[in-house]
Amino acid sequence: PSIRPSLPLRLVSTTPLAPGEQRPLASPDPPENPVDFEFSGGSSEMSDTDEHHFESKADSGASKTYPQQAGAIRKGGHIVIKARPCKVVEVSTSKTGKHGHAKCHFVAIDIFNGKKLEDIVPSSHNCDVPHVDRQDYQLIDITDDGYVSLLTESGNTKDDLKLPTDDVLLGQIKTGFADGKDLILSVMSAMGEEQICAVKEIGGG
Amino acid sequence: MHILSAVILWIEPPNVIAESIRNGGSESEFIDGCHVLLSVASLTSSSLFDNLLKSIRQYGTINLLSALTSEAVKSVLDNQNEEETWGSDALDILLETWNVILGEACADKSPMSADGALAASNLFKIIVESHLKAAADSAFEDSDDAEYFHVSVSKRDEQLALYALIARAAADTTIPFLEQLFSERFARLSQRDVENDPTRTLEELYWLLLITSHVLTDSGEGETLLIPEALQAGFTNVVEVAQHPVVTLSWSIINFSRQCLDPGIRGRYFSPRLMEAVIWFLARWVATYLVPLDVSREIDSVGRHGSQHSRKLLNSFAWDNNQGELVLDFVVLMSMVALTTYQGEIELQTLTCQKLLASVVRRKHTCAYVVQLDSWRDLTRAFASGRSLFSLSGRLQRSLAETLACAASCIKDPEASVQYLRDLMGPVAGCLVENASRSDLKSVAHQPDVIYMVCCLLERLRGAARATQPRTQKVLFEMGHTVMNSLLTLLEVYKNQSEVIYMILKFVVDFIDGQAVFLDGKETSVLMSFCLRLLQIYSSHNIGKVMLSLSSTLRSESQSEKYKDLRALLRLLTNICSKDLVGFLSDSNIEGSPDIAEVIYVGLDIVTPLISLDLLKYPKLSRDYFVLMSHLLEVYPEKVAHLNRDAFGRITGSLEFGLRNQDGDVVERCLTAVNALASYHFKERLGGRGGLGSQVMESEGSNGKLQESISSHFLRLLLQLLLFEDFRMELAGSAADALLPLLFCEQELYQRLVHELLEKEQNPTVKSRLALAFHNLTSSNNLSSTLDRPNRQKFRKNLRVFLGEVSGFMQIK
Repeated sequence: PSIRPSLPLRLVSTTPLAPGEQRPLASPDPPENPVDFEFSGGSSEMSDTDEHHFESKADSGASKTYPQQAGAIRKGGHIVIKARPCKVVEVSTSKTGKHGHAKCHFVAIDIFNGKKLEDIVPSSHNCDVPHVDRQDYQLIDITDDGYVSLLTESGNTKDDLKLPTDDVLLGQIKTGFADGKDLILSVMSAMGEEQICAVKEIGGG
Repeated sequence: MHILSAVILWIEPPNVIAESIRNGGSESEFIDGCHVLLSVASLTSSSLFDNLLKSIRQYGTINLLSALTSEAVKSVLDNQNEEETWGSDALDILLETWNVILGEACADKSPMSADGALAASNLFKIIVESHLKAAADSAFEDSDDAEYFHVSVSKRDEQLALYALIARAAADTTIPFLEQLFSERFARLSQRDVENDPTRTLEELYWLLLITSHVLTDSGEGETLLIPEALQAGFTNVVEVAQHPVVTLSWSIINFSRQCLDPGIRGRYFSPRLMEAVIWFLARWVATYLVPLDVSREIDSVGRHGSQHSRKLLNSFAWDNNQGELVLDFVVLMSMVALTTYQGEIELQTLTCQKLLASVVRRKHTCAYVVQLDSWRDLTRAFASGRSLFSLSGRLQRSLAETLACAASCIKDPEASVQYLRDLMGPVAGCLVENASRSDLKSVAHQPDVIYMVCCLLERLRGAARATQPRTQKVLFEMGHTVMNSLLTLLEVYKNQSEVIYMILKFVVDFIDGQAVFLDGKETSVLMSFCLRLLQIYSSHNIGKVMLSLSSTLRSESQSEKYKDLRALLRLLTNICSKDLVGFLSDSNIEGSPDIAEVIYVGLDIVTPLISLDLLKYPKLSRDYFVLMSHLLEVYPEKVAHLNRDAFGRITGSLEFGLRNQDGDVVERCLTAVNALASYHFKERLGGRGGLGSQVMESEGSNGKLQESISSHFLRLLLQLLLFEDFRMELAGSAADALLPLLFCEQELYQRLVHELLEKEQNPTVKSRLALAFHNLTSSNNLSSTLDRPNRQKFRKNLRVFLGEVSGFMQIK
């Protein structure tokens, strides 16, 4: 008998559902004339954003990982292996015996330290998928002890990140900064860990 | 005949010879003997072939063939040693011999002799028994062999199809034989102890289903599948439907399959692998035996006896007593089961969507029936608003959406057809719109489950877009229109998630692909405005930030991500600029309609800075890019010619790069593009206008940087390529087309270059030959100074002759 996994997804809806409440069918009204869509976002819902106070992701306690069926994770997706957030570089399926059930063999790279990790999971089981975030910050300063000072969207500074260890990246940052260029650093974060992963220069194009 | 008696010793008696080969004897004579049989079979009719041996033996040649083939089969299956190939080599030859004989027997309409049929029947029994044994023996092996994984593998299919031919030659015995084997195994499964492991039986059933499917049906993607002729003609003694072996075998298998709907039984022995075989069998059976009524009616029933009667019977039995309808209902129910309870079984689910359901939906008569079923309605509802089908992989969701949407075309009532699609895709579109309008979108957008949901929805939209047909075009446009604004929102929100961006772009590409030929002026305008906004937003995220460096873990993947994005973008631009769409825009007076040129400019503005020469090394990307470029330059040379300096420079730079590409297709497109540019320039100048005069190209000259016109630059380049670099002759035509207008534009330069070339040539013989060749190039065949077709054809001839003449001595330099 096959294991029935709990469904990992919830349909995202605008109104929160009471437990056990079924999501009503959304049926579109067939337009008589094509509806005039204005991409200026002038709907009343958008103006609500001013009234809502959103906690930043780091504080919100939102799940750092989400369950997803192994069979649905593809190459290029993310997966947690041995508690490390990884990017999948290869997926192959095999079976537990010819008449058994399918299992997925994942080969993945740790997104922070580049180490190769592998895992074999039955396709119907749930795996954890990490919430990987990328944010761009402007570089303000590099401290003597190897930390960077970054400007956040809200105008505050973020000072808790060290310079990256990757030589090429490090070199570009140091040189660019010394040359007085305006640099944007991309910071990747997942499962409570953060790292600078890219540097871009403003201008050009 | 003589040949046969000469080689007979090499191949007879088969079992003795085979044994001696296994013990180390040489196999070459045996193989040669088999080759002889094949050659003889190709030269004679089947009855003559059979009779050949009878003059020196008491049995016919077919008997010998049968015995030989048995030996070959046994040796292949017993012997797992890969180095010894004589068995499979012999088998290939012998099966081909059967193919020839049986093919002829069919064509001649001369049935095989009684002992020939008996020989075939015996052979088939041995084949099946050997394979069943091999299957049972291997049931517990874990193999990495890709062959065992899939129900359909071309090499194995070929072999099974040849076995099937043999079976059909003696169908009146082989079909009941198969049925017997099935019954035994079905009984084994249902009567066994709960503890006993059914794996061996399941593996045997797997193989039986494959071979039986080949016997009962032919393959043929998308064709109308006919019931195999040998089966239609082969049962002359059958009077009652219930007696017909094909009928009883079919129902036996189908009734067994029905048990998979029972959860208890399903869990006990309907393994994913067995389900795959069943589904594959059903897909082919449904496509073959549910014969459209008008076809079966054509088959006259002449009397109650004879082959005509059994032929008609076979063509109509499936629909008797509502059985056909019940089978179709079962097919839908089984599909639901496969898609919802076999979680993670991608192979099975893919077969369900792409073989079984597709086979039902693609045929009008079965589709028209199926769309009215309750079970179908349950399936579409589960898809539209249920959760269970969201766990399917993205590609499957796309497939399923396409299959379900296709069914709309078979609903006769136009209003009902439209409503069906609205019910199917409305919730999908609505869900996307609702998600995109969430006030807290930014804070939840990057959670993996939301990304997954968004991607699933996009895949579904893509699938539906692919099912666009004349009857469904308007309502699918409506679907696309509904989500346009949301897509723009998502493009903004997910600017750092290349997976989502890619999916959005792919949807738009597929959408335009499906819709382009049908759109009216107003719809085109709406679509263009959307595309323009799309491109602008995409561009704003990607321009202005020059990527300096990436961490090593990101470096390689980023390149391939950018590459996928760009390919989708290129396809999008190519589709937008398709003539179907453009025709409307230039004619229409619709207010607010964007100028096609604007769309192109924006598009090119985005694309050209992002396409580095590095990226152009990816073959697929470079092909897509040059398809777009050559297309744009052919259709809108004037618009491209007036791009700003940098943008135009990038384009010509990439053309230069492309002219030296490995891929001949790319080179050809670049030549087309150069032709377009040069021809435009020539025609403009002829009309007294500037043409490309304002555009210059910089290149390194002997005195530092030179600036020269486009035409002179490409003239030099092209001559260089033709004379001094590897040039493929098959591209000579395109090269001629590019060279001719360049010559006209730069006559003075051309004369100078030729002169320089001749001066450099030391060898007097070579020099005079070269001079003559050049002379002929521009004056043979009454070449004139126009770009009309006849003149172009003349120049193509001239160039081919020229290249042939000079290739000998030019390359050596």
